[in-house]
Amino acid sequence: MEELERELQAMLRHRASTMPSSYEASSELVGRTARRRMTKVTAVAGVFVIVVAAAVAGAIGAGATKHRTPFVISNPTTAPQSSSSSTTLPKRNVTTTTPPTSTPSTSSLAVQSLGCPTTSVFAPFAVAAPKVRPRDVDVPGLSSAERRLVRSYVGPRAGFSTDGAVEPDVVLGPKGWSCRVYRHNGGGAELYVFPPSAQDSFGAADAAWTTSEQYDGPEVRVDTAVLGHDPDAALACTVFASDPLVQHWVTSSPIGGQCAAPNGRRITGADGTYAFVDADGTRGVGVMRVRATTPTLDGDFSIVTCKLTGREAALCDAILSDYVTRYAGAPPVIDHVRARTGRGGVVALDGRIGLLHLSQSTEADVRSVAGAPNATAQASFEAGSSNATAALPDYRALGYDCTATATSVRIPLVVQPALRGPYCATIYFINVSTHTLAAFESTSPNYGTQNGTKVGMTPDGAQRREGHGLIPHGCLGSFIELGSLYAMGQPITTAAGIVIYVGPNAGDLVSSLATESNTNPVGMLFC
Amino acid sequence: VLTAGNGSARPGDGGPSFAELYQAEAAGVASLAYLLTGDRDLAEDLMQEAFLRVGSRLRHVAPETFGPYVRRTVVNLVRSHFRRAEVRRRHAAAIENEHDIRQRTGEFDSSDAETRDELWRLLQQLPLRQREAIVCRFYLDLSESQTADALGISLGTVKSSTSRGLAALRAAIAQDRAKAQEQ
Repeated sequence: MEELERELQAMLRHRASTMPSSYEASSELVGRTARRRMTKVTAVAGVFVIVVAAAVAGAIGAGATKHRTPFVISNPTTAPQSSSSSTTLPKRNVTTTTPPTSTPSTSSLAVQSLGCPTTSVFAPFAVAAPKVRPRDVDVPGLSSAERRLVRSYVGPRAGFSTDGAVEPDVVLGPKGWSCRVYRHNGGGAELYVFPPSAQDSFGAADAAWTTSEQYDGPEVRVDTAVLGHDPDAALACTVFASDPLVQHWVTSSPIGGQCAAPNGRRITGADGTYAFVDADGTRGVGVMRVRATTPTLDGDFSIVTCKLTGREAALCDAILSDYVTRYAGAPPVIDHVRARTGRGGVVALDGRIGLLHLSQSTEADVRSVAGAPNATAQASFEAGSSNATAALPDYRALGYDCTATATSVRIPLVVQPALRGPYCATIYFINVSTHTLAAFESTSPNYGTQNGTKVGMTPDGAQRREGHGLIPHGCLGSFIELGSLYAMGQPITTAAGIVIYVGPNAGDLVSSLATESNTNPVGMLFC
Repeated sequence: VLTAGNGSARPGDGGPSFAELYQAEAAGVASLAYLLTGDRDLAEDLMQEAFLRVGSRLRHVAPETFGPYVRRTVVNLVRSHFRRAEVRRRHAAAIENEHDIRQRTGEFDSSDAETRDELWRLLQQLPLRQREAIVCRFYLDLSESQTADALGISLGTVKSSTSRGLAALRAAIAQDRAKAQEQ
């Protein structure tokens, strides 16, 4: 060993000797470790429950329909289109579509309206029924006797609570019935209109979520969900299986699988508006609302199921027709992904960032979607990256909404070997070795996770939505970690990792959203 | 050295407890973090975080690999911290506080101490990868292949990082001493 190496060894040992020679694990650390372990187990268990629930639902559906004969959708205009990139989603024209169940009518009727109480998996967990005024509706083809049988039921449609507003959903139903809405974590909502005899199935308690799904009696039910929220793809397939947009969604989603309508369901319609009849006579419609100029999954869809008996059975035509007239062809009120300008969208574990995709999109794609950057820089997340031994590739940063001076809502374009502006609200990081998008960070609330977490939310809200706990003093600061950023020998299971930053000060809100490819990283989230 | 559990046992399945593993490895891990960051408080924070992270995966980590896991974790944490401005400022402050450290260790006038101090300062100025390689090789006494495992890099990168780091230190020392002679 040479002299320098001996001196180094001595210096290092001396320095190390100035540190305490032993540490005791504090009860707080042991507790935090146990809680973190439990959080992971809970998260895994949550996924397991969802998978089991989906399997059970599939089994129930299969059991209920196995005697039915398959039906081939005859409308060739909705044949699937192949597409390999998220930037080539089929565009849809927003035009008023003729309701498939009846012809429009100008006859108008003021009907009583009833607000529906809502139960959510996120705060506010229970919302009392809102008071709503009577409304005028067109009820084509109804006799005067039938007109007296309808009422209007009002509850929230699908939407994320961070959208800032929730659009109401309005559906007709038999007079004298009750209604309730259940809102899911992923933005979806189920509005049930049910007879007094079914009250027990639609309570506010947790168990009512299950019993409502098992309920098999008369009902008018509206399922609404956000387009592009992957767990709802299977629901969309039950009515929109032949729709090009849904076909593309399912084939490009990490969920995969076949997209097919239930056996025995006859579906007609096109261009986002469909009607269906099941083998048992249950009827329904599906309405998809997509922004006209946005080639993306920006919007929502509704599936209305009308299952009435006795003297109310004749109301289904009016109920379904009213719903289609109200919603088909109308643009969605809430812009869930704000992808029209390319300056927003869903950040997903499969690598999607709005219209772009980690490890696939190039700098040209970023410029095409987000426009010309305000600032650019080339650097590395590793100090001394000019050295040939650097393990991390250089990145090229494309900054948007930038300023020359640092602010609390902007991120520096360069952090190594020292922080350097400009400071930008949104930065795309291109791996200069692979020339593809490797990482992304934004302080803009226009971006959100699939569960709806956005900048500006409270940490508690973000934790509830994501099912992951806050790491208060983690290696990246205070953050919520999604995906396998830190595999440590564990198999990497997602295409990307996501970090939801909170802080930096106690009591702060979600401050930025960052994601990095697990296969094409530049080291932004290395920890 | 772990005294509880056998080689195949896993923590939580009759092997050593988290507290035992912590007691066995914490001092070494904290020292490693300190040598890489030059900041005692930060080193202890990172050590705690490393244990928190690896501890949450106890069932997946065999006792004999716990040490390497937690060392690699702390190296990763150090890398991450050096990307953050606050940490860089603290790091700079720690280097500037050498005077205080020398006084605490009672070596202010020792020539050996001056050499160590100079080496320490120069070490902190090396790129992180070179610093990591040198600390692993000359403090932890890890072989090149063990260093490669600990740092998650190739054997070739370990060799070149160590070599370049030593070369940079030699050059810097020569430069410092030349300046001192001029003065």
